[in-house]
Amino acid sequence: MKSPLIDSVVKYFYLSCLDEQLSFSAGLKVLSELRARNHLTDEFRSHWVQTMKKWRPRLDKLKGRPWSPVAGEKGFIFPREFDMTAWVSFINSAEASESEAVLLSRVLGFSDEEIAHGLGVTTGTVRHRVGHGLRRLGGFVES
Amino acid sequence: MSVTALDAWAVSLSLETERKTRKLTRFLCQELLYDYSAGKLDPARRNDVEEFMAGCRETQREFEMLKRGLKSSQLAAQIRVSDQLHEALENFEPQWRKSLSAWTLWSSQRGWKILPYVFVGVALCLVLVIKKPWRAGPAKDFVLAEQMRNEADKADVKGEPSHEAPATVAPAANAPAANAPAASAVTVPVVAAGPGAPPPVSKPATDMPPIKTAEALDDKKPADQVGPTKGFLMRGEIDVSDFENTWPLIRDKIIALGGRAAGSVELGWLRKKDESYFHLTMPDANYNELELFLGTFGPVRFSKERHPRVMPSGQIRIILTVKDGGATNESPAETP
Repeated sequence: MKSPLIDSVVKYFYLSCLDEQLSFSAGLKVLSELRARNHLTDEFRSHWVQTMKKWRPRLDKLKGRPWSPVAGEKGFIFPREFDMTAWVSFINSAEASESEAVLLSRVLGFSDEEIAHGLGVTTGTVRHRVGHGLRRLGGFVES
Repeated sequence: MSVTALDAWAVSLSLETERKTRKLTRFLCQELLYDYSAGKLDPARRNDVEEFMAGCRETQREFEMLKRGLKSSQLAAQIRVSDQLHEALENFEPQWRKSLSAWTLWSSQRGWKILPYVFVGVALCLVLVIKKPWRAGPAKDFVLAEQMRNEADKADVKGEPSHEAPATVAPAANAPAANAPAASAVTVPVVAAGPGAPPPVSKPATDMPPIKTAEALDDKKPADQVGPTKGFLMRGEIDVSDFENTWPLIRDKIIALGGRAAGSVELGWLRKKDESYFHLTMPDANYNELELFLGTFGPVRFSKERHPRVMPSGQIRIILTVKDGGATNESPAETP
């Protein structure tokens, strides 16, 4: 059975930086920190958000690490209809707070309360950022 | 928009929702679109949004974008992490930990094979620590010798102070000399010097306190109870007129006749300014020739004395003192 924590962490970083090796390195850091604090269970989901948010600005300083000995192996499986170019445009153009809110709320399925607690903002702020981010993301998706 | 303003806006929005008095603006309606799509608005506010959106083209476009964004985010939520990546994240171990685990496994299975090497290594370390070979002292550089003198010699020394103590000095390495009876002897350590030290200067035995050996202290046997000694040495004296030139000639002649220094000093050691000292061993057959040679410089007097040290067959031990007799025209005298 797959751990939702691992999936959430590595998807969060991959959809933030669009680099598998970098997301693997950052995922290892976050998982190591959460393991050290024994925050692996679902009751600490807000701490997951908090830890991921802490490591996101440090992505540029991390060195990508190959996660598989087989070169070119894909770590993520995409649905057929998913428009990666729209997502890339969204990540590059949207404010970091909005893309992060969309990612956490609509992609990874964290509740507004968990996000608000993890980011240190109110739930109204979270909903505002998500609404703005979704409208911006929709602007890049072809109708 | 700041967080505080957003919170104030949300509070006012909820209050207005309750009061249903405030009319929606385009900005307010667009801000409510996400809650509207999520079904979080109360029915009255939802009707307000729908009524406003029906008459506002831009709000309709924003709502369409929101729906496309929602659809795109739902597709992004369906992105799956491969099993390989998931496993790599779940079971990741740093390289040093992998190496440590591998070594631990190896040592638990086959590590006992290195036990003998471990023991040998530990033993070697212990030996090195205890012995400290790098601190080897200069023990081999010292030569120890003993001076042995019997009771008769001691009596002579008391009656006539003599400086011939080195005559009986022999290196400790000369093992045969140890055959001499030790109980009747008084031992005096004389020489202990390294190779780089200046030539050892013998001190007269009479100047040093006699040190009795342990055997002598224990046994306390009188000297006459010891068996008679069979050894002897030839002791001689000669006075020469030209001392400075003569003693080197005598030394060279002794060497030519096979003589070798027997004591701890070199042949012809200048014990005093006008006195040269020879302590030597040489072939017995050449003794007469030496005596004849010495006779050409002046009267020479040799006496045969008993001595505890027995010389090898064919060898003779001689102690010769050459003194400066001043310029004399005396004819050489015969040796007694």
